[in-house]
Amino acid sequence: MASDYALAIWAARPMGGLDIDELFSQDMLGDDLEAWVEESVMMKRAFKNCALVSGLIERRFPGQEKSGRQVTFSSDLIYDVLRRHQPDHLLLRCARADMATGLLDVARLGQMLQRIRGRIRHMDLPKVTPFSVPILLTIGRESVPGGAQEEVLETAEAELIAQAMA
Amino acid sequence: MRVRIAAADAVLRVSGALWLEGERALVVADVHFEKGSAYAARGQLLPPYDTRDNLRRLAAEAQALRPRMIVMLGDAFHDEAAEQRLDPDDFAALCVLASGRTMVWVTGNHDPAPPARPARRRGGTELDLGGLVLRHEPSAGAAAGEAAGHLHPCARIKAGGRSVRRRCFVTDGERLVLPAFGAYAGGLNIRDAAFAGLFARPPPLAVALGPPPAHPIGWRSVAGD
Repeated sequence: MASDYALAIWAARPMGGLDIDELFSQDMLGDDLEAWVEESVMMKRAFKNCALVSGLIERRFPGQEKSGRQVTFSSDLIYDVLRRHQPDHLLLRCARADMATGLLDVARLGQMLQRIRGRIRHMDLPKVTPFSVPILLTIGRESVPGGAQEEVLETAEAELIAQAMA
Repeated sequence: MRVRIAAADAVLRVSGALWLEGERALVVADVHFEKGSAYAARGQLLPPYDTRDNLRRLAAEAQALRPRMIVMLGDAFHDEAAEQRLDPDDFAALCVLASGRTMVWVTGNHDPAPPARPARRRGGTELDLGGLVLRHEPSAGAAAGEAAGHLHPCARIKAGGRSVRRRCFVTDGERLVLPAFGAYAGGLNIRDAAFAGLFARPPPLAVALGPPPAHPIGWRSVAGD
């Protein structure tokens, strides 16, 4: 999550051993970024918005009755199929364009990474600082599906094994 | 993942397919070929690549396992006219998949009759195979040794304050419900009333799909939507 003044990253596990300079290395702007963006929640959301605007899927509202044969489609399913079979599809191009202008300006990101390189000071703070409060309130708003989803499954699996052994 | 369903040994593949090693039979449920084109005909223009995607994943499983028989456990085609809508390329891929092995088309509510082609096929409403009864729709009440589809099971798995929704197998060791294999198939939460009463011996076990491996999940970790 980011505001004009702060960037917050949170994780399921403590990040004590992390090399902060490595995390903000410019190397990440290569092919990895493109691959990651294609899989990201933000990209899928951008695609969903495009799919809604185009009329491909309909938005559902809480409490709305399903009428007859109307079925809502998960735009994620469509996204995955389209990406494999027609990667240059208009809606995919729209979604990428939305991402590139609205959410991810790679050129500026590159400049920033260059600018802050070697100047990052890492401090463990005993408490929340005043300027971080607004951004801390947004915790959980965005998620990055890396290993986290699989970790949920692994945790649940471990709980099952623990129950079986008990 | 290896499980025992009643007296039969079964492998639950992370693709959503059931593998009966003793019979060398690959079983997939609810493929819904041509679902995309069925919706397109009614004005919802879904990209028409679902059949291709389903065939690609099926071919990958056939490549990995070399089955003697492929059992389509009902709703293989989304509707009765779906067979005619198959793209020639897709039909060719289906023929390659069927060559050298028996295709069994167990009928479902979407496809009450097996397709006319490709050849070397069998149809029917149920099939006894390797100690299991394979049918499309799970029968009401307890049914030991039954493997069925139809319900498109999905689980919302909760752990550590987060949750993930995945297609899944559900079993209590007596019977098995397979997930939908089709790319455009939706899912029904296994906490839904439709699943209640199917599993006599609580608690059932869900096997969640996704990137390999498959994860066995206890009933306590699955939530409603």
